Amino acid sequence: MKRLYGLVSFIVFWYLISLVTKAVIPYPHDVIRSFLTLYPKELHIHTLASSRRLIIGLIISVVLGVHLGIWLGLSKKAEALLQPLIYILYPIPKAALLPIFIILFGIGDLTKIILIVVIVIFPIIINIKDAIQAIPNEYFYVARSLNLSKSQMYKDMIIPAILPKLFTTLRISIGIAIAVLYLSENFATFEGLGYYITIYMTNKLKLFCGILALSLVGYILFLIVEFLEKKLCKWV
Amino acid sequence: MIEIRNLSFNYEDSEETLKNINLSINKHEKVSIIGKSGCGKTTLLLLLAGIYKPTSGEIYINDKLLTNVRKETGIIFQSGGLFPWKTVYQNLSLAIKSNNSNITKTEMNEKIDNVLRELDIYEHKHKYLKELSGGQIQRVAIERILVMNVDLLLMDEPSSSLDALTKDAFQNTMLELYKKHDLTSIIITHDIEEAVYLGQKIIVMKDGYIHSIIDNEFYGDKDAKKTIQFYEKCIEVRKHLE
Ligand SMILES: Nc1ncnc2c1ncn2[C@@H]1O[C@H](COP(=O)(O)OP(=O)(O)O)[C@@H](O)[C@H]1O
Ligand SMILES: [Mg+2]
Repeated sequence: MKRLYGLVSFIVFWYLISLVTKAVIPYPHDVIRSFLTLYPKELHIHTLASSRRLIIGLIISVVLGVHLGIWLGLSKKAEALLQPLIYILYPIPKAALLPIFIILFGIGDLTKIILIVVIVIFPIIINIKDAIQAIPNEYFYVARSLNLSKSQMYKDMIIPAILPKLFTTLRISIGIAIAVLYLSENFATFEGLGYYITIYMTNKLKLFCGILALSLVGYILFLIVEFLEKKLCKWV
Repeated sequence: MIEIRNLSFNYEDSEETLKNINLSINKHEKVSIIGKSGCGKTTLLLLLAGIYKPTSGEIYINDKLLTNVRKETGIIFQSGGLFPWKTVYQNLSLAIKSNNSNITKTEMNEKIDNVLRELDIYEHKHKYLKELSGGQIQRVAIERILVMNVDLLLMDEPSSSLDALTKDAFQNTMLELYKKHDLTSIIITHDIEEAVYLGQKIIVMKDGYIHSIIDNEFYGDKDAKKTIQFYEKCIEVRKHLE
């Protein structure tokens, strides 16, 4: 119901913008009609390529970022050692390094995935570290007094304690990852929605079909994260 | 039951938090510890729980040198120390399993149901903590101790986040449990009345050492709070705190 309301107001909003801009932004019904014919014809290849890069990039970022974040949060030594490095690396505009990545990792998916990872991993590491350090001491004492094994400690305490923060971070990361992906697909590739959107800069309908496809990919990822969050964080 | 000898403790590179503490507590004795914030009460409790190790000195429990956490020691913290991401049932079963890893599911369910009924929160069995009141959470925390068959109960300001009426109910529940179960019990509190109501012995701590140990003849009397003498005792304890 809420979702239907969102969809309706989105389309109404879109019509308004189209009206106001005198159809510089094409009308929703035109875009949706071309989308439906273009998707099976050519868009699906680009959508799949982009989704693949996005999902692999996000999964690698989460797996690495969560591990590093937990390590930094639990170990004072790791924090002293790595935190300064992370704070120096974090603000470097990694997107500007794309040409270097292309030289190092080629023009394939690897470069695009790595660019997503090196950007998205930072907020994940920092947020997970904060979440770990926000766990009240009491919980660690309880875990000790219940004599929880190392694996139980992760399963029954640390992982559930950081999950809400992880999901919040993940939702933000999806937005960042899409922006990064769009940029990286503008270089050295013939597949992907970023490429598609850019080559059709002058074909308004195709341009907006590409934008719509990329937005839908993001929206579906959002829904998946929300679904998991509802399932796994009932206690919040 | 508990024998503390020349116990000193300091956290990493900070000055001494506990200074040469000597104390013995008898089996089944109910002790209150009272003292100003920061005087080292929680630290002492964590040492008694085996969570921290003494910097020097020893703690013996049942004539055995304490070197690690004991299965038979239960702890209740201010927030109850229950995991909010687990239901009442899951919190209790985690505690039971930690004490008795080869218990069957039926035995476990029976055990949990029994204590939930004893403390009258059976209907909340599958709820998360956010759905319970502060008083109910503390009762679940007590239950977690009861299902573990402990002989030593350590409590760190368990009632400090409860409102006055819930606090009274909590204290009465504790008194009943004290009578029903053969426990040695130590309760930390900064509430003088609570210390007098729930302690056979009242230990006053100051700046990391034990300032005085006061015997309390009012312990165990459910109606003590209706007498003047009870409040005179409170005033006596207050003098030691100043
Ligand atoms: N984890 C810790 N690391 C360093 N110092 C601590 C730690 N916990 C407590 N302290 C210090 O030890 C002293 C005693 O603390 P605590 O035992 O918590 O006192 P109380 O429970 O009586 O309020 C305080 O000065 C406190 O700042
Ligand atoms: Mg304390």
